[in-house]
Amino acid sequence: MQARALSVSDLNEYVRRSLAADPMLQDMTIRGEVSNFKRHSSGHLYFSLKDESSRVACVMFRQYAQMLRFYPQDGMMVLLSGSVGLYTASGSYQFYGQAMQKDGVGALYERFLQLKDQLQKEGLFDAARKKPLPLLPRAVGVVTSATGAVIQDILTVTRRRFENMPVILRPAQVQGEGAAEDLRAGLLEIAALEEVDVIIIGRGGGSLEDLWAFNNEALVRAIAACQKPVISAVGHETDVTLADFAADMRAPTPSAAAELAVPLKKDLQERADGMLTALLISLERQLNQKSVLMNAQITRLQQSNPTQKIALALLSQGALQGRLHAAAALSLERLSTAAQAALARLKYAGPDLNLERGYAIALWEGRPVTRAERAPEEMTLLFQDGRVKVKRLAVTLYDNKEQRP
Amino acid sequence: MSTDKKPVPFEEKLEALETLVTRMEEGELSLDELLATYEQGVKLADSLKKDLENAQNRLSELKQGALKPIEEA
Repeated sequence: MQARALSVSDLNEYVRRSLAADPMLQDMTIRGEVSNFKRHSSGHLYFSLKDESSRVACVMFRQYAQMLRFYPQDGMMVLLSGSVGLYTASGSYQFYGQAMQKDGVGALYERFLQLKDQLQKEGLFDAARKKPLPLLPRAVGVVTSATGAVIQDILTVTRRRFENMPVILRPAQVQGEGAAEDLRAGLLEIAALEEVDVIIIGRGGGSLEDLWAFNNEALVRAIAACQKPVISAVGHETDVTLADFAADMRAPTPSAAAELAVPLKKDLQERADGMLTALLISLERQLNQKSVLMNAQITRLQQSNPTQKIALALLSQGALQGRLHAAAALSLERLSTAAQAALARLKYAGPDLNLERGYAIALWEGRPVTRAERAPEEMTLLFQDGRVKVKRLAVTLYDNKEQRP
Repeated sequence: MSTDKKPVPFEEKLEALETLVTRMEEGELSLDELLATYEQGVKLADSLKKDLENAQNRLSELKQGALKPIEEA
């Protein structure tokens, strides 16, 4: 019996081999609640999984821990795959985990759903509360980690779209203890900057635990209450946080957030140019219209100018003058005819005609002797071709007119 | 009536001109009235032309300005 005694080390080694030889123990998955969770500085994770009555020590080495999509926490229900082995130094067996996933709806997720329900009832996520994004912000505020891809993506996209757009980063802790408080403080600080017209808040993808800060009630309320439009860019497209619901716009990625926040400069310029052209065309058309209207009136004005009336007036005045002249001429002519007639009559009335007819005029001292009774002793008889001096022989006076020859 | 030298709008002057011309076209003005109306009309027409010319000049200035590329900040 004594001779067959084994050393402790031998025993432990034997048990270790026995366990290692069992194929079932080498590839299995167990379910349990995480407790005594510790992350060693080496990166290895040490914890226990337990159920109502038992517990088992678990370890997850760094190369596996790095692959985890979430941060295990005490109280979390998980499925752990790996193998069972003996830690020979202490003779205790433990579970060597290689992959871990959350088991069903964890407590964290329950809380997430409860808070979401409550905030939704309060109207925090209403579409009517959403503020429109500015066409062209003076500056873009970003609340995220100073390191990492998020800020780099945002900067790259912003520079590409609008190269001189100011981007103001408020570095914030985006996961772990105090992250929600820091994010909230950062949001308030950046919203207080006058030139910031739109805010992007977010982080890269991760597990529900990674993104947990973005489900913090105070942060979510601050996002909803923010006076400036907030774009959330938390995780990947499939990750949804309450911050996404409260934000005015949810971007599936940080790059998409930058695209929403910053317009394409070229587009804006083209739009502005287009509007300017349309404006000028419209202005020109209206000017032309007015010019046409004006010219129509000026044409009318010229057509009804007084020239014609003046010409007519001149014409009638000229006609009057003509009539005056004509009338005058006619009168003169009449006068002259009358005068000639008078002259003719004068002529007939004078002695010449009578002389031609055979009468003679008796003159005494140059004056006609018209009565026999006044006949002087000597007279001159005037004929049409000469004169004869005569002497008075006898005078016979007529008794009456009947005696005249 | 305000007495400040606010320029009369183009449209108002155009309307005034139209009224004048219509009156002239009705042909019931005496020669004196016609002359006076015509003189007024010519003044209005000159003023309108000047307005339009100014507007067109300003438009072409604007157009020249608009064709320049926007300065990079």
